[in-house]
Amino acid sequence: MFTAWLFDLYPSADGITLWFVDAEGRKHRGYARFTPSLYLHLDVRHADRIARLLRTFPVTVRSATKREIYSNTDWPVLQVTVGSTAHFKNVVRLLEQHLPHYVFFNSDIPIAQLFLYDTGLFPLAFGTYELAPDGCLLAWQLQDANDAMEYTFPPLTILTLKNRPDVVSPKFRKNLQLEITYDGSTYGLESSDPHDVLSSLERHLQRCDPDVILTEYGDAVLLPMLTRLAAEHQVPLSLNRDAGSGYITSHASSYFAYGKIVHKDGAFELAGRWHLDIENSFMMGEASLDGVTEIARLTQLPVQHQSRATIGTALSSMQLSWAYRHGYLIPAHKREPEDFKSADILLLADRGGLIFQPEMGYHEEVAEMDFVSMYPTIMVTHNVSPETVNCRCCRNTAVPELGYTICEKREGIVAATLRTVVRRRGIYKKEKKRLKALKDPRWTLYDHRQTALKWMLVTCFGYLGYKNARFGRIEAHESVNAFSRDAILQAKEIAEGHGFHFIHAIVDCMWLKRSGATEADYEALAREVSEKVGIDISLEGIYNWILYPPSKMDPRIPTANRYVGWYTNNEIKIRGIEIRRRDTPVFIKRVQGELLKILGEGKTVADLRGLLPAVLAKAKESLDLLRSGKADPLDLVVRRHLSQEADEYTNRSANAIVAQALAEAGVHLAPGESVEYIIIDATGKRHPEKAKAVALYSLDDGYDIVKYTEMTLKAVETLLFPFGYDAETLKNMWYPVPPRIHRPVARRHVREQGELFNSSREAG
Amino acid sequence: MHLSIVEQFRAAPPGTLYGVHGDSSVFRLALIAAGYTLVQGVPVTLVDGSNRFDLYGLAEFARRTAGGRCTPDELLRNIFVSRAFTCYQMEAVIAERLRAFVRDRKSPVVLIFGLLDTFYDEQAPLRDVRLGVQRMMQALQGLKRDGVSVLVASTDVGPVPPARRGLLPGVMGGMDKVFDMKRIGHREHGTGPSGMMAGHREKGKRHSSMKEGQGENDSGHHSRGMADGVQGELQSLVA
Ligand SMILES: [Zn+2]
Repeated sequence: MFTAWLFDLYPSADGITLWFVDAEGRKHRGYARFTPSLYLHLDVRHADRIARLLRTFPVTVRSATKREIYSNTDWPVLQVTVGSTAHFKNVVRLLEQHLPHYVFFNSDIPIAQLFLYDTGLFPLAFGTYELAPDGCLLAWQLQDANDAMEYTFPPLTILTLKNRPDVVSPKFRKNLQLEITYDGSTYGLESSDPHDVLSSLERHLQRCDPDVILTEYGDAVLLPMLTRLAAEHQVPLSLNRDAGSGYITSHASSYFAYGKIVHKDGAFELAGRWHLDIENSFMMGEASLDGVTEIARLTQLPVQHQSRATIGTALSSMQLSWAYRHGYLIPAHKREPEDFKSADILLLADRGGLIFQPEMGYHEEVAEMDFVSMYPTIMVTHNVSPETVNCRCCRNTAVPELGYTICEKREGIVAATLRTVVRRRGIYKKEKKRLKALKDPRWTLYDHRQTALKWMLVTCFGYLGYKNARFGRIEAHESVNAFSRDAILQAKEIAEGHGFHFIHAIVDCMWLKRSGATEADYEALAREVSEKVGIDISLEGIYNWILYPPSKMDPRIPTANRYVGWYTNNEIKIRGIEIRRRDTPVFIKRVQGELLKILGEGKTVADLRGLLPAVLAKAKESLDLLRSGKADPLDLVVRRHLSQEADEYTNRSANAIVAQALAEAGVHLAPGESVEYIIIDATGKRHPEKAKAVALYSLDDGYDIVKYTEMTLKAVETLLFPFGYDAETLKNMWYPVPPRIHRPVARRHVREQGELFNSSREAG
Repeated sequence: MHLSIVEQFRAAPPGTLYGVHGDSSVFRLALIAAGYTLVQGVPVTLVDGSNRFDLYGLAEFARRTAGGRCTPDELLRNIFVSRAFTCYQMEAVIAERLRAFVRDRKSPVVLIFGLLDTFYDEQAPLRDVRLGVQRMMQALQGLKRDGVSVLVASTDVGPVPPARRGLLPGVMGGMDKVFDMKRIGHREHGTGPSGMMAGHREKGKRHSSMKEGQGENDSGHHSRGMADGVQGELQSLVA
């Protein structure tokens, strides 16, 4: 018997192999017997047939009843219990050859997850565990719960393993140079003979015996390469703590999500240690290890799996666990189709969140109020879930405009699982704020945790409408939108009742003004709206001025979610314009940032007019530098996502040219990965190469002055259009004749680093 | 002459299964074919697996087409839509829900857009796909027995995984009448009269142009001809 944290788990010949770490950092290995079940929606008469079919496997087949989530009725099913985790997949595969897909339930959940759902255990569960002499888990007593707000963390040994740092990412390199860091020391391993490097790595692994191996590009490049070389050179490599286990790997994929191609590297997971690849983990990047473990505990996804999973997978795991605990059948495929609706209802239902277009230009004395976690709050408070919307047991017209019914008799799966997330994030946010005020460094822990949860809340609404979400449904998605429109309209009515004027609204944010209104007036309004609407709304701040820039399509109208403004407390908020976009070259970001700094001195629109000469002078100064050829080419790097494989491009776009040039240089980039390049001749007239990848760029290549001038002027136009300066006007005013040099050979400059606006507010 | 598909669909006895395939104008054409039923105040049911169903186009169509017997709102209230985004949903809606719904609403006309589109997704195993298509075809036969006419509109452009290329010809083979828009467009543009009829086959005859149509992208030439045709039909309906 020992007290420890459950560290790692994976299926094995014994059932589930378990690793524990105790407070002294000692590792304990054990295993659990586990006999997972799947269910077949088949009559008991089929039981013999199924048993015969599976006679070569250690299975039992018996009839049972389980609850179906949509109808909320008990279904007769056949329960197939597999005596060994190793056979589960094969049993499912064999059955699939003989039975239609729609009879399968609980058949496609990863075994380790199923084990956690079944036992109620979770990653890093702290408790007292009792193992038999052969390691079999006999009993446990947790001093922890997966939804506990305060929890402890085992002492973990961390080894960082990376390719030696270089300006070029490991994807673009081939030779073996490693850098290892642990216990405060860093070791560089380098040799022309891989055998030496690998042997040395193995000595470090033995000496350090890390719990966590942190890498950059470990999934895609580093670990596959090291294991391949180790096999070739016959060097033992103890990446796994469990020497008897293989590596758990999966392939890279490119998939279509949210309107663009996304690339995901494959996974390379270890047995008995965690391999965390910070370049292949959204959560590590956003919320560090604190965020990863927070979500792993909550969702019961093993840590290595969680770190690589999409937020959708995390949400899904919470729902699967909830369904499992409540005895609901979990369909192998989402089948629930959209209800038939008349086209007039569909026209109402198909609308998204509400948008009131603002007037293009500068506005002064405007306040912004945001509903806090609007969508998840709606789902939780109105019980919006796939099985509760238009349930078969209640009669009401709870959903505004659409008149859909929402169940009054049971809490829905989405509402139930999100409730926890919403509550936790609220508490963590408060704790972060409290500790930060006390200058207690632990505030970052709570910040990481709340950030991780924030992503679940941001994603949950989209996931509800996602076609492959197991517990998603269009009517639930439509209902949330209908409630959100209703909430904004209610807020508008209340505000207007107090003499406020509505400037602009997007879905869950609104901008309003009343001449001379104070912060206290807005706070009072926020309290009233929160109370009447049932969703908290907070005063984000009062702007000295806010700009809604013209849209690229039609300069007379603005675009939703593109604005910039200075708050009265000297913070700036920027959305959607060039300086915030990841694909904008640093040079242009810097120009726009400098202009915004100058404009920040103005408190009113009249002040801004007074600042125009200074703004114009600053813009021209930067453009003159660009046109002299002295701009730093590294500041002109353009970043774009690839939409297809290099050899699939049929056009001669800069993306295509750069991807093909890289491919020729031996660097393969998949759709969804990004390329970085410098434009050398956008027209392709003087130089057919158009653009050069940063990795292949030399200073002699220069840059395209005309193109970068045009791009910079566009960014200036964004800010100055309301004062009558568009890019064309500025160009004619400053540079009426084309430049003498088009593609200067650049000189590299030492440049200032650092953020332009340290006080800039982050989203959410 | 443009109206021949539409007219045939209208004139056909209840319980006829129609297939029409070609470029993306098939969807508009199908809607126009059902428009007549709609303006009579008779409900129409639509299953959309193509994710291309143009709700706002339909609203516009209703505004322009309705009159006399029913208002645009009445027309919109009389067309029932279910959209499917995965092949499992498509199979479920057609094989398990459609017949009961149509009976319940007394809707004598069913339109199906992109019956197979979701089945081309290689995430779905071939065995699930085959079963799904088989169950849907059985459901269509059930509708036919109930006296419900079905118009299955499919595009045959865009990539189809090799193992799934036989699905569309298979489905079209199960229809009572099939129109190949590409052939119609071609003939119409080239030789003129009777083009519409040339593309259509009676039950039992080999459908010769099916193979040619596969994998051959629309030239702008053909699709423009077709779009004009549909526009013409829309005009004549409005008139
Ligand atoms: Zn109910």
